[in-house]
Amino acid sequence: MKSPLLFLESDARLLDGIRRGDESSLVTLYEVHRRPITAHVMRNNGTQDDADDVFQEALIILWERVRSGKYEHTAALGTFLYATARNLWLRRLALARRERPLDANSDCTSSDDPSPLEDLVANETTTAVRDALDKLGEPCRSLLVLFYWEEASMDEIARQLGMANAATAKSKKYQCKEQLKRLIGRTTDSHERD
Amino acid sequence: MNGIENNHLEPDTIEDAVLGRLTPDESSRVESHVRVCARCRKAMEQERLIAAGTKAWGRAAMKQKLAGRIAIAARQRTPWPHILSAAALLVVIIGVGVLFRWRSPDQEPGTSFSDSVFTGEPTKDAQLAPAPSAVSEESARSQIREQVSPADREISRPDKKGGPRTGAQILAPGVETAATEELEQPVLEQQAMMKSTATDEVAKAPDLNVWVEGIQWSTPFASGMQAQPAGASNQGVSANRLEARSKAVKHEMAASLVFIINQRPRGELHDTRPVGYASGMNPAHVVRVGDTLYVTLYLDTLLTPERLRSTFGQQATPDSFQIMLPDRILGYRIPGGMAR
Repeated sequence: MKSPLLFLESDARLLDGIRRGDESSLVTLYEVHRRPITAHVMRNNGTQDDADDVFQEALIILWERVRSGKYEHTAALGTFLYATARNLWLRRLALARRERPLDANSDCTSSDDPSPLEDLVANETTTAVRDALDKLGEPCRSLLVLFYWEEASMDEIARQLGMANAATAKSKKYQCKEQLKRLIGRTTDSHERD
Repeated sequence: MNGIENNHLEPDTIEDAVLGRLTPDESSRVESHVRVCARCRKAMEQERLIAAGTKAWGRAAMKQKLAGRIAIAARQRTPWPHILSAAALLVVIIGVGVLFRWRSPDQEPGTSFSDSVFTGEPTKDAQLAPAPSAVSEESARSQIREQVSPADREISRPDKKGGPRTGAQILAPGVETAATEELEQPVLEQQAMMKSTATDEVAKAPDLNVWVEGIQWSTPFASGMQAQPAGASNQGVSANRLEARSKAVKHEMAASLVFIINQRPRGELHDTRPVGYASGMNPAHVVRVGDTLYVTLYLDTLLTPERLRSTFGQQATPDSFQIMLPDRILGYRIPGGMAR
């Protein structure tokens, strides 16, 4: 835990921390910015748990963007987090409304939104991969997570996982993916048998 | 690089396409190829699936890790709001206590603030001579009422026309003698009698110039300040001798005295009808209930709350008591039959 004078931490320092993979930067951001986000969610039919949940998701989105180099520091981190959490919460509210039976005249869904069936299929396939990843051992799981989620370069992956070089990491990645595909196949087969 | 090898997309190209790392030109070439290559299309779908699933897994793991770290941080967080709330509460309590102390008229010198306010322990006065509680006062009034005949009660009805009250009405703040014809008490007096420490009422009385009632009470010889026998002085009298003298006469005296000091404008004093021993324009009214003498004193001058605070009474001899006013001492004889 950092100093209680969290608000003195500059955005730049926190962003540097995230770039280095320092997760405590997220905790710091949570401590500093949780109040307005919690207030917003709770004002809009949410609970404290809902607020914590969407704020943590917003923090993770920030983490993803910064780590993948896609984050543009055009606004204060607090503004970005508030806007992201607010959008996440609005999306959840819209989803909750859609799950309820709709009136015949109701027209609150957008044609751009995935249909419930598409959501279901996407969730099922994603779940199959997640199940397979649970069974995948280390360092394969970490390697694939670094590659796909954090979009780290092979050099970065090699450094983080203590591999000789990027070529070694790339070779390992190929093996891990093949292993994962086999596990996905088994998982899917077992789901179909169930 | 065009990303196509042996008429199929290279694995790295598929990964880059899924992860959005291709230029627009490369991306459009890949899309064109996927439309005509079923094997590449299948590989692309599988890659998307792995990427989406791995991202979801990564997010979930990160979220779990973050929640754990936040929970740890919350436990380690200094509970400033709680600390500040407790501090504020403490300040309020101390402030109220100081205010109470400041306004309290009968704090004895040397009685600590904490003794009288926070601990709930009786003050020195209370320990030495317990004040008659509201219950005991009510009990005393009941005893007196039982001793008075219905005929007497009829006589004692207050003036329904609202005219000037009789002396007996004024004389009876819950304290009547056998010779008293009055039983009904003026409302103000009844309300005042409900207070066990009427000196507080003195300080709070909004209509000081009309009505001030103070109650001081003491056990004879219980306190060095209040228990001097007539003519005695603390000066030159050792504590042992005073104590011995107290024991010698104590059995002859009432266990306690209750002094009720009423102040009224001079114009009303003529209505008072002193019972027992009157002293000039300061008639007194005495009644004995059990071992307690209740004395109602009517002063011809108005005392400020501050001066009233320094007024006290004591039983001087088995058949007399004194009221020590700031500027004079009033002596009274206890009516016959009331002294032991």
